[in-house]
Amino acid sequence: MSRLHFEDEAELFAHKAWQTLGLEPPADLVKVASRLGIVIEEREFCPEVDGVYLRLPGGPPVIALNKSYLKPPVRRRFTLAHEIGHHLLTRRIRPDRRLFFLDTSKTRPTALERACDRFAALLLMPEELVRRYFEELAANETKRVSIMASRFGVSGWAMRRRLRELGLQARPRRTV
Amino acid sequence: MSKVSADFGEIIRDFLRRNGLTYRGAALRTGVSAAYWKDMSDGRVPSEEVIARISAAFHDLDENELRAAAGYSMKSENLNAVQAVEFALRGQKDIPPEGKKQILDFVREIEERYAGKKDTDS
Repeated sequence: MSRLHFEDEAELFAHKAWQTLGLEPPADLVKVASRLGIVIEEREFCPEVDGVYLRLPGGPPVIALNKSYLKPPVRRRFTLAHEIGHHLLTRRIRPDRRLFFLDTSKTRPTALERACDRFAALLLMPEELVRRYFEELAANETKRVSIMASRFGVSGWAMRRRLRELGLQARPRRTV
Repeated sequence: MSKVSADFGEIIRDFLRRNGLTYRGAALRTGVSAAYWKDMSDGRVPSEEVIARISAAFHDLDENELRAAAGYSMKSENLNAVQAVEFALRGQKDIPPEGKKQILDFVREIEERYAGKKDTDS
């Protein structure tokens, strides 16, 4: 499966979730997971682990998030959205096959992992709303990113990255 | 020259001893010659086909255990969920042993939780 295929699907799924579930920012990821029949758990994992996706024959898909205090809620939300992406992008794999995905800070950026990140970013920060808030907050440039991050329930880092993707914020200028 | 594995030889010798089998007796059950059984008990690594054949003939001989001792990769379809994840985690150098144990405990718990459901569904 090509990278383009995965990324196309990621965009389609994120768009469909907002359309069909009537989401409002910050996107209710529990609602999205619940609609897909996914069980969410919080577990004690070592700091290297962000989350795990597990699908065993006969049982529902399970996403386990690291509940460590080292993983702030906004980080956990992004991980949850990423793991939902794993579920959607591998849903065609036969149900009698086991699926296991482990996400750590050092997970190799394969085409599938990149597509899951893309799905997470689009699910949490849909383009139309990002552009609208960006315009609305034009007068408050100093706090614009933090206000938007708070509205979408994401980290400032993720928000800035999404803005850059949409060409809404110049990259920080390099100082010599 | 054939590949040799002390671990593989030990598994074969232990299996024959536990079951009171001679090389000839094992040969009759598997179609693998007595001389070859003698070589395997000395640590000679057979082909993957021979491993599949002898493990199919004797349930005591676990195919994946033999494959691992022989230096072949394990067959994931023969593994339960915990073993499969354990196998997948072998390449995760950045996860400490305790971290891997936490993940395996999680997989074990999920497998046990839904094992009954799978039986009732089928």
